[in-house]
Amino acid sequence: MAGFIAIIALAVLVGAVLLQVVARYLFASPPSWTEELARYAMIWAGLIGATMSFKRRFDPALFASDGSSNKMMAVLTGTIQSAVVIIYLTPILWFCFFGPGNNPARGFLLRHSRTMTDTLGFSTIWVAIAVPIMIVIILIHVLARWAGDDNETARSVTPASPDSADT
Amino acid sequence: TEVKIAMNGTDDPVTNAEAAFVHGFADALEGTDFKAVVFPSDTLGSEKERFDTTAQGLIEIDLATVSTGVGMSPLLKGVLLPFLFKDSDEFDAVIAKSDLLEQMNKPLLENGVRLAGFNYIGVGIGIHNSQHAVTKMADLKGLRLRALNPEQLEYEEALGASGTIIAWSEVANAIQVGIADGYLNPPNSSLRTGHTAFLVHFTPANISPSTRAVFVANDWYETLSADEKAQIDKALDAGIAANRAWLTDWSTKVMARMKEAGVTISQLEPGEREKMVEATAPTWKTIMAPDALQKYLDALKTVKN
Amino acid sequence: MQAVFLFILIGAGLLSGAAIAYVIGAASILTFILGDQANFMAALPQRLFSQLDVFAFLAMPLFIFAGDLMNRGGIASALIDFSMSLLGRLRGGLGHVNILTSVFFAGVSGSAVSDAAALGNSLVPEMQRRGYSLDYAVAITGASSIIGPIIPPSSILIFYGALMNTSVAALFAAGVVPGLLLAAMLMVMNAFYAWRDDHPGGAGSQADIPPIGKSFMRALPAMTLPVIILGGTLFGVMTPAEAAAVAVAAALVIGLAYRELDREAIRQSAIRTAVMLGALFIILCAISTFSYIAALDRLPQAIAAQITALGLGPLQYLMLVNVVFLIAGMAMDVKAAVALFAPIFVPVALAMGIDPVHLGIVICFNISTGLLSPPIGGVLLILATTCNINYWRLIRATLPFFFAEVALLIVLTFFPAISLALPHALGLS
Ligand code: NA
Ligand code: NA
Repeated sequence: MAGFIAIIALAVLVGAVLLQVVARYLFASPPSWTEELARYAMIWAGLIGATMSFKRRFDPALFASDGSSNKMMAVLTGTIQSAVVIIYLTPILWFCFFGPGNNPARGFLLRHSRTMTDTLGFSTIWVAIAVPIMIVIILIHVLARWAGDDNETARSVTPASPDSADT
Repeated sequence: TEVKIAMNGTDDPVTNAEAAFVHGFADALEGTDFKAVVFPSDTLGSEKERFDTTAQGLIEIDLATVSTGVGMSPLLKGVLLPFLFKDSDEFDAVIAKSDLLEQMNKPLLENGVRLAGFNYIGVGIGIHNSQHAVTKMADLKGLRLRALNPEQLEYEEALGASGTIIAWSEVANAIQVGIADGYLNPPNSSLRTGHTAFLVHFTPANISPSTRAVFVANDWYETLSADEKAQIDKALDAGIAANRAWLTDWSTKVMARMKEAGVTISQLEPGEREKMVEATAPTWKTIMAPDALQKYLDALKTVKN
Repeated sequence: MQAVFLFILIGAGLLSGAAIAYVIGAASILTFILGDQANFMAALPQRLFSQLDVFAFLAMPLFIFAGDLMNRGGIASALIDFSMSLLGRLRGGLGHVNILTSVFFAGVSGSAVSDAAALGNSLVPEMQRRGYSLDYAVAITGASSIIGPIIPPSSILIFYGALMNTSVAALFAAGVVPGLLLAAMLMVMNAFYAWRDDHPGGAGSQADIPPIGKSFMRALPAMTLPVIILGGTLFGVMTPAEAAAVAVAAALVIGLAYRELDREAIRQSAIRTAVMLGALFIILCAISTFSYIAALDRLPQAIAAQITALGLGPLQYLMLVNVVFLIAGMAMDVKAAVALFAPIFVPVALAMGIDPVHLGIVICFNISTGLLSPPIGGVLLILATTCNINYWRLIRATLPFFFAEVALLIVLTFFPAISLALPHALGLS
């Protein structure tokens, strides 16, 4: 499902930018919405991509997490790994719905629901919502790891997987 | 307590008109319990982001481009309309003598932002280009001007030029390789960026005042006592006064600076600005809702009488 | 006390094998809470959103996508054949071929890692078969892969341009000469090693060198891509993002024409692009969290003040920047290092009158060289995996090339004209 959304978003991104080039040379003035559409497609593709990268342990790490034969050690490192993800993402998820002082009227999503895109004629909440969706999916992957989803992938991929540095 | 002021420019009151506001504001708070702390150069985020954190009451004061507020308060669009105001004095008079500011504020306040007033960053917007002197509207024909947004694109075309939307970071490149021939900006834009090296023609046209907004976090403001509110209001007025003093000083120097930078200044021939007003007036209605536009026209009428 | 606690947390997080992005994020969150600034966390969702909602980033996923499609589409093998027909006859010929292929490859891909992956899979076994040591074959592959992000397109230059609001087209133009200079230097080194260690090649080994005409025709579609990309961006026909989208379309057409791409390959390629973009985005998210707390505590101003107090001149300052980025590049992900340090060091440099384009090339060259440096060079890691060679043995073999590239970096630092001549000539900066 995540892969499907990412492919669609990427296709929209490529299509919108290509349309912009074609239109620049075919019509006197290119449509003004292509750039904004491309940017929003990129945000969707990237945030959904972040969940896929997490699931595949593709995010660069300083040290490999495998290679520990000690069961105690494995539980300890697994706990720390899950803890940093939860510590980082939970407050951000919370503040998608609440503002300072836990005021629901000033939450991130509600604020976006009242803001229009520049050219596309819909509310920016349809882009902003990708943020909490990304967080929820990653938190589900964290749970799934403890449920034993992770057995093969953890061993087959080095966490410091260099592919992640696209340089 | 700290009053955080976030801005996109540098904290240099000599070259930056918004920094002049900041220092006027900060000085006026001397002797109160408030202390202004400035966060220059987008350190607290880009335009949209600063606006958003102000709406949450986390930044007390945000010096922002007017267009960030347009998404919540469409009435603000009028400030950006081409050739609606004769000059910045007329704009100031309209804001002072009408209830427009109050009406602009209505949807903003619901979202936690209060528009306290406007800063200028320089003299009015004129025509920069790399090709030839522009003294008549007809001279714009054949020039491809960079557009900031669809609204600007529309009125550039109404003026007889062609337009193309280009991100600011690619503007220098685009003009030098010929994707665009120029842009509509106040003269300090090209002075600050060194674009004067290739944008060698400038025509002052007062297309619109080069206005930016002063947004105050309303959630914070409403927690203040009546005395404290008065102190902040006074400081805001002092900041805006410092900004206007800066502008007066700057307007005596700016054309000399442009000439020093090698730019040819061309004045519009008599009657040409009127032609431009006439050509672009129809775009007002497409840029803005008719009833909102009417509010500006009514306010202008009272000022002109 | 708080600092000690945070230090332990970061250490434990990194040691546990958690991803750098989440460790930085978690440490930043705890700094908000411990510093009694928890209220400001309410700004984080928007902070993260704004960090990603950047026009100039558009070129990045598109170039990643184009590069991956080309890898799958048989372009690497076409470029290797063509380089063979040009340089295969020389002593140490395959070493030269390796470098030249990377130059061609650099024109279509923005990534050293994908260059190393492609040539590590194909050219390294071929070099071994012809009698090169595995160590040397892998080392020259790694050293020349660094040309990838220097010659445009380049994902680091796009990233830098977007973060620092500098023209990507000007940065692209500025990368051409340093990239070619790097290739020339590596070829001289390769010729020296070929002579000293008596590498294979030279007369009598022409048996399987492809005919030049045929290999040229096969490589031609692949070589039109750099023309589209470079020509399009440097002469103002397209923005970098548009050129990247055209490259995607062209890679699809060429891959289908070579009959190497099918539906499944394209799907895989899109998935991989999304994963790479995602890994990048989560780093950006974490950096945006960290830089927000740093800005609230006015850390950049404090660092700038410290540096100003040192009273460095522009050249000394550039060398300081080099040292910082070299150290950062040794330990960190490339883009994380740029995102973390560029906003702190670049504004001070610009205030000193250092050219932003020159600075961009110096930082990009520096950070790319870091991909070859121990302990965690990205290129080294992928080569160790794809070529099945011991990591520390590989580092030993690569080290002379790493030092030579650092020397070239210093030359680029002291002679801005090397980078700036081309963009000036094209009127880009
Ligand atoms: Na490249
Ligand atoms: Na190579």
